[in-house]
Amino acid sequence: MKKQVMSEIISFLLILLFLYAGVSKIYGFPGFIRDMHNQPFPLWFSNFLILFIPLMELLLVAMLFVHRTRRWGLWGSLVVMTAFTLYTSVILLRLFGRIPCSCGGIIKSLSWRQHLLFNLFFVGVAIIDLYLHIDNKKKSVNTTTYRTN
Amino acid sequence: MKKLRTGLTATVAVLGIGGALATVPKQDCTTQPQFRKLGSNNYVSAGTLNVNYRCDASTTTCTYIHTGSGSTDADYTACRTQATYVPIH
Repeated sequence: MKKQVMSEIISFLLILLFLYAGVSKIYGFPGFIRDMHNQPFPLWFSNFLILFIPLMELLLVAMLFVHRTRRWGLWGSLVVMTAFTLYTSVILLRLFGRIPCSCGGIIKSLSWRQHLLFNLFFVGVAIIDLYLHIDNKKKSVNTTTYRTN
Repeated sequence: MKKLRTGLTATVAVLGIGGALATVPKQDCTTQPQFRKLGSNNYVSAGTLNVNYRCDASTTTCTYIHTGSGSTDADYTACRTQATYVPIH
């Protein structure tokens, strides 16, 4: 029960992150477009990400919210946060040759180094929640099997 | 468990949506014409981002917007901060 409560709280922490990120991107869409165009990507890829990132974030919110799809939502969150972390690391390692500015917003006002720590924290959160979720599922299957026997 | 879920849903909805709406600037400065500082007190049009220039992370200001009626430092406000103006040739 304790683990179930912990898993629920952690899932909602991820929901909060993706809901905030998705809504702020859509609400401040012109600024988001300009920020994406300032990233060191080819224009076609930036244009793809401009639509893909906010939609994916809101899709993750829905998947994490619904119990039946939460496991997929947690895997999705882990993949997305890992991708963001890798991108931040690549920026900090100057593999693109320059460090673009991350201008505006609450999360965006963090420096790239702070952003890396923030992302790493949420990668950890997603891993813990995935472990708790799988553990809870196993226990509930065992309980059901025990009861039917 | 149901009570916890309802409480968390309400908290997340208020913080997530409310927080996003509250922190996104109502008037996004980047939608307005951008200027760059040239010399000590001279501002010129910055051009188009990613076409004429880009903003690289640093501790200075990349672009400004014109908020006054004159052409002094007091008439321009920093828009893209924590960045340096880098022209694209």
